[in-house]
Amino acid sequence: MKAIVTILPRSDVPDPAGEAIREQLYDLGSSDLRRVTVGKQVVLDFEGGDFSTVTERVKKLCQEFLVNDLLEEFTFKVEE
Amino acid sequence: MRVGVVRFPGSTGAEDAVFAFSSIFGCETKVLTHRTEQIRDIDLLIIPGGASFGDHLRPGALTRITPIAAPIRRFARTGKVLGIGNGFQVLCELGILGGALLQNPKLRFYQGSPHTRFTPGKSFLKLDPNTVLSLPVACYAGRYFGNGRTRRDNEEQQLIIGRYCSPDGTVDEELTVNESVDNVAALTNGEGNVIGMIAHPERAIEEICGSTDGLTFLKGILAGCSP
Repeated sequence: MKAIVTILPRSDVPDPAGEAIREQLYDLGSSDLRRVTVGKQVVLDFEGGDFSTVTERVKKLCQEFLVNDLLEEFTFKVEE
Repeated sequence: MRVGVVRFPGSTGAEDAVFAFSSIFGCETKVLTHRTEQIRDIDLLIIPGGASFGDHLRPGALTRITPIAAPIRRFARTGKVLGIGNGFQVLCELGILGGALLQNPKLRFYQGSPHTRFTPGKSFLKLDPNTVLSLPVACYAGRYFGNGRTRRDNEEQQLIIGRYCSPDGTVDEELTVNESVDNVAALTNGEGNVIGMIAHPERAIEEICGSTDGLTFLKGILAGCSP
């Protein structure tokens, strides 16, 4: 099973990388961009496991380690 | 005085801290690694600067799953702890201090010796209130951030013991460094036994360093650790 975790900064947290990209895209003509958010993706490739067990484990790993909930929020999907 | 310095892989500031406490202050100093499972016979624990574990995931984050993480948390219940630079980030990641350190605005590396006004309050730091020191800062993730609740706690419990200021000690929002909220330069915990700071006092301890303000600060730290 594979879990793909997407971690993004919370909306109230400064995101200098996103802001730098937004400014450049503005110069390229994308003046309608309100915000650009830069985060990271973590792919966890499990040996075996079933959907519900892996889902619980990934959620726990995110809450306890992968994500700092003061700064970030996460979503993930689990696939075969 | 017995000082323990935690050296994580990547902690480039450990040697500077060891030099300061052993050679300058004559403390019995030992290095603890990330694999250390017990912290004992220590009067002061230093979490030094430098990008622990390469700052992967988030600065300080990977220290959370090292064997020494639990002993640090246990020690920090009552023991005196000073986190410097990345060490401040580690203390935030371990949940010992509130808030977090973000990458600097514009992703710039900051290097300088900004002024900080110290108001030690209930922390173990022994310095006259409103002492202003110029201490070296070198970091790319030194932007202190707290959400509304963290900032309220910091103010209500008087946890901010150092604020960036002008040379005469005036604290103004525009004088903050790296857009750190509330001018936070140094923070303590509710019990006052843990201090985190972005600046590096151990790099300003001899005239050859260009300043000895760090010596003044570290004397205040050691004075607070005396029985």
